[in-house]
Amino acid sequence: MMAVVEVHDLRKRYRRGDTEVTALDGLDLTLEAGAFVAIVGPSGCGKSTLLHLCGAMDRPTAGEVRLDGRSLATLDDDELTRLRRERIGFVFQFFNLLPTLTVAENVALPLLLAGSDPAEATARAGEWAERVGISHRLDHAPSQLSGGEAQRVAIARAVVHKPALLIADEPTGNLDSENGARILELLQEVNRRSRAALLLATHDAAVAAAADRTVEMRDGRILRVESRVAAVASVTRPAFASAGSAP
Amino acid sequence: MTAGRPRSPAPAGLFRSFVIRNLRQQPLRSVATIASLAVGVAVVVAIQLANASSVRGFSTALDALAGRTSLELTVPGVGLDETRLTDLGWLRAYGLVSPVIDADVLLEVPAAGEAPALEAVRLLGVDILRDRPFRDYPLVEGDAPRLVTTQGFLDLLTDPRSIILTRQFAARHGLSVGDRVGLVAGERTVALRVTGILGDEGPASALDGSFALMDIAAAQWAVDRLGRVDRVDVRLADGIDVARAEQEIASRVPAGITVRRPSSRGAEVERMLRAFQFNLTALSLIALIVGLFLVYNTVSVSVITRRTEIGLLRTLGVTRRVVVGLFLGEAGALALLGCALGAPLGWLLAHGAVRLTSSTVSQFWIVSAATVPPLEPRMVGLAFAVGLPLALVAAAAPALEAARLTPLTAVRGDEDLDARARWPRRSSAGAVVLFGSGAWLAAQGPVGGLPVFGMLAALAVVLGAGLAMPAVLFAVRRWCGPAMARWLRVEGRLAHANLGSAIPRLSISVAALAVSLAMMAAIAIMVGSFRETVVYWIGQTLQADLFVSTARGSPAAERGGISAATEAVIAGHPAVEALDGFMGMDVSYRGSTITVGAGRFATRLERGGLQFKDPADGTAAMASAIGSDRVVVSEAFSLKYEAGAGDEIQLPTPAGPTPFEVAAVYFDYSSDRGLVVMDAGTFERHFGPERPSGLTVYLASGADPETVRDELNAALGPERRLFITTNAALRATVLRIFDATFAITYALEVIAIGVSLFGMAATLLTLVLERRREVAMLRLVGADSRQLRRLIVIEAGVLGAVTQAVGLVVGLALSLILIYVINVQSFGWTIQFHLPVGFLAQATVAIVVAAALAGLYPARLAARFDLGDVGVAQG
Repeated sequence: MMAVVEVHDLRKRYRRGDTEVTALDGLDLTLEAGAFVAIVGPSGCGKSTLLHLCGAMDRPTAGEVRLDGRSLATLDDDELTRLRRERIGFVFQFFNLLPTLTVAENVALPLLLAGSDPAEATARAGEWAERVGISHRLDHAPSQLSGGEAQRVAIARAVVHKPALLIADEPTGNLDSENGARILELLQEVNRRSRAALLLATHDAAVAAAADRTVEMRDGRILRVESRVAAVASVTRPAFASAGSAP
Repeated sequence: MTAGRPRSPAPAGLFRSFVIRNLRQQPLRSVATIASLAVGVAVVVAIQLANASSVRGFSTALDALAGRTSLELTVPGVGLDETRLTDLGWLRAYGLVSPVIDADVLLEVPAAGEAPALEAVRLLGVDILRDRPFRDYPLVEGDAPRLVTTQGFLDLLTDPRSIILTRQFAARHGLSVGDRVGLVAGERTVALRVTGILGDEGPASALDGSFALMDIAAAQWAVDRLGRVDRVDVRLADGIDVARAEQEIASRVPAGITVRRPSSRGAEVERMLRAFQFNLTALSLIALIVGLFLVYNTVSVSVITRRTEIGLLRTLGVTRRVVVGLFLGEAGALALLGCALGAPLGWLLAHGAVRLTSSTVSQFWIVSAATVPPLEPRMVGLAFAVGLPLALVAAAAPALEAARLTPLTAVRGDEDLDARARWPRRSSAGAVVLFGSGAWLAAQGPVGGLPVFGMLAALAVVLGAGLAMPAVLFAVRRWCGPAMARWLRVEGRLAHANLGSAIPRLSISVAALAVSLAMMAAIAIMVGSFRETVVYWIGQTLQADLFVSTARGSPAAERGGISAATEAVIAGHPAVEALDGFMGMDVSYRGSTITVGAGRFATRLERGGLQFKDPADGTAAMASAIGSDRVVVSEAFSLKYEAGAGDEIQLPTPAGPTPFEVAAVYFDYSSDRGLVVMDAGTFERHFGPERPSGLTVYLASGADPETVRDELNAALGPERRLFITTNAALRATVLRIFDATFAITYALEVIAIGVSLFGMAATLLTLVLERRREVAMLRLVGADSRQLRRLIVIEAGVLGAVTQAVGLVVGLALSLILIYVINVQSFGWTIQFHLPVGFLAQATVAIVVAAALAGLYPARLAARFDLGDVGVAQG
């Protein structure tokens, strides 16, 4: 199967005052289309840094990230921006919707920024809003939504442009368990249907257990990789299904 | 971080870490606020300095020239016949008496290899034997005093061609005793010899040394006032009460002689200048309002962006009172710097402003000595006294808002921006009330000759515009969304969304800019209308082909001047069809000074040229004034003294107060002091024979004015100092003077707009910094740097356009108040409304482009935000 993301000997160091902090220290990882990889580990282990580098948000100190076979190191800032706009979707713990835009506008934003026809973008946003179950909130402002609803809008925005890679940083971290379970189920469904690779960082063991592969990190390195066969998924899904049938 | 861990709980320590450090961290915003305050304060100081210098120059000069004079006797207009002096012998019972000639003349100083320099001086002609007890004339030789007896002094002046100048004047022109100068009076130039130099005391200390002394007889001859004196000065003997003596002498002098104290002339001038200075002061205060808007804005933005920090301070035990103190302290710190810069800046601006005021002052006194005094502690004090309290008032509302924040604010964090901005009901209602008040105030009459209500109406409109701004932005946001999204694509859609959420933050800085622009528009409309009116007026009035005057660019020697021989030469030219002469003189009228003039009504009626306001058939009314005691008066006179056609006015004449009937009121824009014009025959009957100071010459059709001018110049010869101007040249000169007079007004406006634009750029920057996370989010989901730049530049451009639109509407309202209320009440001028469309269109394009450019720096900054900001923060 073709690799969407290939990470090779990835290193990232920051300066904080007089000291140098190693966030990533020689990391290798590959994500194929449709893969669901969960990154786990304590705070400060480098999870978010890995996500930022894979999401073309930051540049490594050494090593390489390849997306769709292209090395990110060769791209300038505007090319990285275009790559994010066309190939990557993001979901964050705190939703990060634009407060001044309506739900529909938030969802359509990546398409509009890519220059799509506004009518077509709005129609696609409507379709995705329907699929994530927030179509009744299209004209609302983000401040009028519950946490679960806001995260569904964020997911719709992350996938509306059909990305190859979906990056989710603690997507359930700011939600109660019921809403968390629904969001995880929604992400899995998107991952399964769109075949977008899902790279998800979490502290929640139950969320991590839903992934095909769990990468445990500590001090900027991979401590352990645990793979599950497809059959595992059939064991975990009913557990979440019991928390609520609708995503 | 400073708020989270304040190093000292003491307010002083907190002030340093919480306020001063923050001001340093926001250099652009701090500098914009300080600069705007400095400009506001500077304008106020400049206008005060300019006003003070003109009046002070005048009062000082009057004091110095009056010396120890207790009372002065004058005759309206043409002076006192010398033969009547003998009838006043009884005056000696009251003290000493000294007749004087007091005239404004031009001195011509030869310059090697160049055209001779001309400078206006105040000439006093005295009988030195009588005058020495009145005034000090300290002669000097180099830096040392030159001691001379009274007889010695008399010897210096016995030669009718001798003149004594001041040390300052001599130094300016490199003159010394024995040198020759020319005295220009009317069309004649009299050659004189410098026989002495006066030190800087007495009259010589006034007017920057533009003073000259001659013997009274020589002066009478030089200025063509043989047989007349301008004044008789009286120095009362010790122990005589001035008020009582004034009353007694007034009751004994023959009709037509006025008795008054020298200081009353100063009071008269101050009264005349009052409206002019009041307007300038009010305008300067409006400039200050722009600065205060920005102080309010800075402190508001500071409070809005630091809500969490304020909450933390409250959590850590800082009281509400200290929070208020901190933000008032912020305004105070900004104001201190603004005032400290504003005072010297005002002093610099005053030099320009003095040019403006002195052109008006010189209508009253040719040598006004309106120089800017050095920057005294009193003026620096004024800068602080005006700027500091007003800045604190401006900061009070946001400071109190800060004090209302609770410790919970810190825990909850800043609230999300709301995409659904609500209609700002309270501020809209306030705006409606203020606009209504403005309309009511504009309909009220003047207070003591000052347009106090008119100014308050302008202030109400300005403040109303500030309050209306949130509603305007709300309306723009509501109705312009689809258009922005359609024409400006996704960036337009985003800019539109941001505009809505930022209304509370933007309103004040946008209002500040709008007020600046409104003032510019108002002044442009007012000046444009005034100019158009003047152009039309001179088109109607200046019908003659040539204008002959005795002194170019100077009102000196208004009385008399053009001899009968000269007039005969001009009238004898074959191309000259008709001549009209004009003379004018200052006359004291109801505590103020007016000009009483005379012209040849028959010629004027035949040739046309006056525009009448009242009655409808002004020409017939003017014709009825020939040979009768009827006069035509200017609009300014009519409005100021409430005298319309058919009314009777009492003018002082040498024979005492004499009634005249107002035949007609005509439009005049040459002076705001009031003109009363009578036919030359009537004038002579009441005031005695007088030569005109100017002639208007009508040529036969087909004659070339420039050729005739050259031929007349040749026929008159160089010894006659006359200036002959063609109609076209005079019109150009009038407009040049008009434009120069208003140049400084524009300069001040451009400064105010520049500062406001700077303030808006600072606000945009603050907004971008405040939206750091959103901007990073936009970049994350695919907005490239070009799109970000477009977004912020569109926001800035839209704000500029909205601001200019509001500025134009408010400016129109202000201009109507200026034209129809303030101008009429202050100066008595009816100005025809005219919209300078071209100028306003250019200004609009310039402002929108400038505002859009103001967004470039924040846009560049936004493109550099760290994308990692997105994931970590709460939102």
